[in-house]
Amino acid sequence: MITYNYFGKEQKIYYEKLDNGLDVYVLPMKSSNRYFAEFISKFGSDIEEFLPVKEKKYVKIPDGLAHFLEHKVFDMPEGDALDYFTKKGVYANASTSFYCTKYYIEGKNDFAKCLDYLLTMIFTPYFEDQSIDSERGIIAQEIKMYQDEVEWKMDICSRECTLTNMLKGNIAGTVEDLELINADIMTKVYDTFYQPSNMFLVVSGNVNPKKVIEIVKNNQAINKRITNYPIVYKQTEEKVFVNEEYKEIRANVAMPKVRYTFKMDLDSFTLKDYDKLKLYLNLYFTFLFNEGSDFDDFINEKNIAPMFYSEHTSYKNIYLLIFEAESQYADLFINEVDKTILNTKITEEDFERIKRVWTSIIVRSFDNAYDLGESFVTDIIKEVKELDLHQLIDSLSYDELLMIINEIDYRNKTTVMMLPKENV
Amino acid sequence: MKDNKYECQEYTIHFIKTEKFHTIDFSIIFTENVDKRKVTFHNTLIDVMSICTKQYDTTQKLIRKCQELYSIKPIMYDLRMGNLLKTKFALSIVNSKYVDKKIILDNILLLKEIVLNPYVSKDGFDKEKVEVAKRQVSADLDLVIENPRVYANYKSLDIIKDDANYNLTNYIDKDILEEVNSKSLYESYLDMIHHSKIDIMIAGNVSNEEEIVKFIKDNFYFNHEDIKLNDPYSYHEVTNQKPVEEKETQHFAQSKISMVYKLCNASLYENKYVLNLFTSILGGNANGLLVKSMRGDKSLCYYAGAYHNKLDNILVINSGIDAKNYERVVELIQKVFIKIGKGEFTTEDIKTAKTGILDDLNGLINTNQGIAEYFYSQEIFKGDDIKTRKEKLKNVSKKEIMDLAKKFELASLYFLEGNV
Repeated sequence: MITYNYFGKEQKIYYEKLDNGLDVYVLPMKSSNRYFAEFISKFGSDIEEFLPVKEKKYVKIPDGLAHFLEHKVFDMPEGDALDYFTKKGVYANASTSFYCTKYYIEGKNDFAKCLDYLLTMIFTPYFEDQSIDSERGIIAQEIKMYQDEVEWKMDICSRECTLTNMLKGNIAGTVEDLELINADIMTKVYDTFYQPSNMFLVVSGNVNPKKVIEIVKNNQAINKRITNYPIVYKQTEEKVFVNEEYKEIRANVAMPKVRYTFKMDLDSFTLKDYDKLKLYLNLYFTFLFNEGSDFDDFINEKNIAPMFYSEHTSYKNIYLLIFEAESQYADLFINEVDKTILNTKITEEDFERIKRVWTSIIVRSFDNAYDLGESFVTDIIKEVKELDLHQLIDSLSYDELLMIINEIDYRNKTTVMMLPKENV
Repeated sequence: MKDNKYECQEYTIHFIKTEKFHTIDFSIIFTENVDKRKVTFHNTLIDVMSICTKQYDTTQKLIRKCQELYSIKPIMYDLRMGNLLKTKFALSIVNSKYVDKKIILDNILLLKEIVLNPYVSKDGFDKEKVEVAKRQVSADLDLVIENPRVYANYKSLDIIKDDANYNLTNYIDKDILEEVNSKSLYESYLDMIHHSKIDIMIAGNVSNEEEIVKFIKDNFYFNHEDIKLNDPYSYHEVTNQKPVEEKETQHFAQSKISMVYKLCNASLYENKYVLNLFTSILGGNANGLLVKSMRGDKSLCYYAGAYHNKLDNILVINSGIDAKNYERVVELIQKVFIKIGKGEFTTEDIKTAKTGILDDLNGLINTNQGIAEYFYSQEIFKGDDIKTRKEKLKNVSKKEIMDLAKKFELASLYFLEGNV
């Protein structure tokens, strides 16, 4: 087992790669009397075509399968696995994203038994056509629920405009897509992407690292699984330009909403260390647009938008800077974003202040097993190489930030306007 | 872990020393008797006070001061608790051990600035800032309309037109918002400062207790008058009246059903202990009978859940369904109450519910914020301590749960029909 620092000596990470290829990370916490364990398959809804293990022909994955599979993993020969955790007073849930599928438990009771059962559940495929049929109706209701959500509509439309190849469509698929899913394709996908070598486990909280490794190594179900087979799927290459620069849609909103997105190529920067580069960009955009910025004060004072936010996200070489506002004056909002980008200068004092705030945010996460575990999982999914975040933040320099700011290319952008239905 | 209380003339200081956490929670909580007008006024007040103070007269200056002190934005909110209204101002302070200077006293002074030195002139709050806040709270209410799940839940409570407070949501009333101006809002602020019960809470790894308490006493003056708080609970009698029913059709793919039940003639013991178990067995977890009867092999819904509000003595059921299944779902929900009343649930169901609730009780004191909240609620509601709560919960019998099932009366049924 290897030990890393996460925040100097304050928080340690214990890591071991098992013979079956599974990566296990443990973050023991003195402050928590609870535990959080999350098991992740690096299989999400963004993979469209793959080569099943031991086969030679590519197979297309129906939309929504990753999410459907997530539901069915809870099926056990003895019934619904959720019953087991609920009876122990432990919260269990799962989620599917474009990048991965996560299964987690969070609680205080019976850690060893619950972690063991989580592993047993994930590595006991039990896909029966009858139960798949019955799940179809439940997932159809889930899809309908999302379809009615304004944010969901905005998300889908904004992604369609901004992205050329990746993160397309709806993670859960459409009600029609569900008809294409059966036990056969589910098993092929499962056997390929749910190999321990394509997965990792993060455990945080009141836990002992050695004990965690022992439980995983002794689990019968995981030891029966095929693993270490190469995973082959068709990779999509994302273009830097956007699909559509402007689009209008209508929805059940009281006030118009605007989503304004900048798309950037991380490969276009001189700095090739993605971890540091993304931190620099995040820091700069936090300074420009978050609460307390000149931009924030101006938008509020001039009544341009009663509600707005900005966020940044990345996937592979693509970095997205996203704004959303509820506003009668979307043009003014967009103009102000553009003006801020062109005219606002960050001082060394601002730079140090934001570094300080980030340090305090990391310290805060040490009091909550879920927060600490979940933020660590995100780092692993995003393939962050330097695990000691504090050290990484400390290593940022003002001069390097200025160099990066000069290299930002704001030319690729999209605007989605969501108008109230009565305006139709 | 112990609440060291310091009773001062105007307020109570609660000093709770904990050693394992990395932050210190410092908060000032005002507790008043609630009314409909106050909910709207305090919603706006919180927004105005979060914009700036007299010394830090823009949001930027206020946020930057917080950042200088390694704090994130102050936590400010108001919450109706039955017949009471709680308004909280808090800062989460990083323990000095992890940063390069002692920051506790400066953070205490910052919260004093926010609470006691708001941006006011002779006539009241700054007019422009009040207008900004009004637009924001109004936009909050608009968000409810955009989310059909939240909207259905909101409507099911709103359509019960009683004079009591249990149907008050935490959202503003647009007619009352019209009455909010810089002067009336300032009067509301002064009323809160002068006529509330005030608790100052500090929880965390702080060694210099005497120094901190003296510092608070030296710095916080509210010019406060005594106040008698109402009984926080609303009580209901059986009325045998037809529930209020409302249907609305909108352009949605999924229909939403929301039902409010009043718990009638329940004892305080039933309210505090049996109701928890009843809700959990009915629909509080993945094993709930609602989920079993509606999801299971019938695949009628993706979610079906129940929650209760003890202080209001109400229970709410929410689900998303296909419009064609409306009557069937209402019938199924009502049948589940009858089933529980007849004892058609297992010892295992009770055991699972008890385990879940006991775990929730453990979770109450797993953060400094949770610990401070726990001692605040002990102060206001004078409830049992966690150990006693656990013991009483463990002893709740099946018969007590069956009896409680017969004490619910359907008060409202709201159906948001999707026509896509």
